[in-house]
Amino acid sequence: MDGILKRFEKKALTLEVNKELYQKEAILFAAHKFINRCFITIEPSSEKYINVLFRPKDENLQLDDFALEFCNELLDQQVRLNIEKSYGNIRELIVKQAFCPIENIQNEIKI
Amino acid sequence: MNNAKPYQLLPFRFMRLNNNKFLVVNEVGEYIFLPNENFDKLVNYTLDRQCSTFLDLKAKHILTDTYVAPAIDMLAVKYRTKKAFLYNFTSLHMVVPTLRCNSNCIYCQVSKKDPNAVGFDMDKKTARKTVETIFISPSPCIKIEFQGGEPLLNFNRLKYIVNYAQKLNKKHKRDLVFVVCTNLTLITPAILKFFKKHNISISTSLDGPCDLHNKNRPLQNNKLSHGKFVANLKLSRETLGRGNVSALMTTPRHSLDQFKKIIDEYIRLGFHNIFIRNLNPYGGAKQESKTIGYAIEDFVSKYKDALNYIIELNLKGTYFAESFATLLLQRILTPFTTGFVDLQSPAGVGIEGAVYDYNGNVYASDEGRMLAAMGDQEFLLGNVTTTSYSQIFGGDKLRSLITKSCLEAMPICSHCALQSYCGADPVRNYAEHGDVECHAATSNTCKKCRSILLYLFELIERNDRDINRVFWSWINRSPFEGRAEN
Repeated sequence: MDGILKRFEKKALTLEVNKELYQKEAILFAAHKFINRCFITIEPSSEKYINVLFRPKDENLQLDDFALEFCNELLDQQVRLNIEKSYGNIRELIVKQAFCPIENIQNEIKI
Repeated sequence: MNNAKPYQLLPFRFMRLNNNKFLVVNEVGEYIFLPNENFDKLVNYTLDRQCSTFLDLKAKHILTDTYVAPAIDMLAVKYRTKKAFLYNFTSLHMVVPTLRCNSNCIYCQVSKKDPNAVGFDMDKKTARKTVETIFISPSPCIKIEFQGGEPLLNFNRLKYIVNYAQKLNKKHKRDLVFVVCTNLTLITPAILKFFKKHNISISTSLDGPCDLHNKNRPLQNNKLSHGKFVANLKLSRETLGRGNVSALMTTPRHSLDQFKKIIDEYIRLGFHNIFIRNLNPYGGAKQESKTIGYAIEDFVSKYKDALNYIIELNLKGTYFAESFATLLLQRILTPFTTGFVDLQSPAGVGIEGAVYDYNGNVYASDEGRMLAAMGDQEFLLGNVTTTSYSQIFGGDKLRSLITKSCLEAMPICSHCALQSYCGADPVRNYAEHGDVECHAATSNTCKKCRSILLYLFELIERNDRDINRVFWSWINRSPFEGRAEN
């Protein structure tokens, strides 16, 4: 788990996420997906790391597996952010062109 | 094209299907299954431009290695087609001539009143204003659907509404159709003659074989309804034609293990499709949830078994479709739009369908009316006798509801690979969570739709020629023509 440190304590799990590898948005999006299973707190721990604290709603939740699942989700979210950036404004232009045609699309593209 | 990259990615969403594979879906619902290795190459710009995966991705407008503008143009056309349900504004107008009902369904979601109750019928003035309000809608298609209670308990008002609507339509020239939602028990030849004359269709309810239907849908005073239902179904079909009588079912807990029997009963009675519906969190269904409710996971599990059974029936030569799967398959496999007010983005509340209660109150959806019957007027848009059309359909309340029902702007949904096939139901969200916005992580509707969509993708990915032909027969509404030859 590159860029992520794991800590278990008192039926809770803390993941320290390296900010140089993962953006804040990716951490928030990933964490939000797990609110059905955990109470989640996010706070900066140092200049380099962000702490994500998971307190399970169900005490039978396997925190080890859960940590792995979160790491995959975090990775997916970071990839999402990266490719979203590469689209530039293409998504907006598709919707705009669909409902309010643009005279010269080429001039509007920003990628 | 940016020279630094060998190709330009076009907007898509993705999800892991399992440890080995991703599902990638573009902005207009075109999809591809990608092994991990190819997904990594795709997002790292290292895909071989001669390989078949690259060509597939290019054909599906998930990337382009030529000019971007024509790709945007093409995707915009497809996007407009997918969102064509927005063109017409409100076309489905549900009218409640009475809240009285002669049924005593165990899951009644509308808080119906006794057949002899007073003060729950639509009066003539309200009916007139209702029809006039309906015709202000700009939609070229107007469907007036009579709901209840049991609408036939106020047949005179129903007749008045039909006649007045047809009179107004001589001027407005809309594509005007009528549907009556009835339990069929009060149908008579005279009523059917009126239906036939005015080209009115029937939508009824059938919950399964005799014992199950009678258990779920007894009449008042515990009288049984199935026998009467079957006799009047026959009579209705003889007068109106088979295609003008459709049926819906609802699933309380004890029906979960009976799907095969329910499907068999639909086939025995000559229906060609079934819509397997879970309970809604309204009215009696909510109050009695301890005895008739269930976890949505249980419903999904039984739904999948039922779907497999239906596919098998088709493979053996019986044409029979599951309507929810058909709707989703149409969204996955075709470029066309599908109107379904409960599952679209933005939601269909108000802008696709609206409900006119017996007292003239207008609600954003039938479920909004159900909540009102439970004492919560959150989705009341106005009243036909006191509120103008523009206040009802152009007011802040409906605008706010629609704004908050765009999946494109919801947490989780905005990134979900299944977004193109899914939709928002703000009324249901409100009933489940107390908030009109979708909380996907905790939403039962999300759990249901996601699980069923993923199951359909699992079946599609098998690429079984016979199953594919069954799916297409459902989409095309034409019988399956036997197994594919090897």
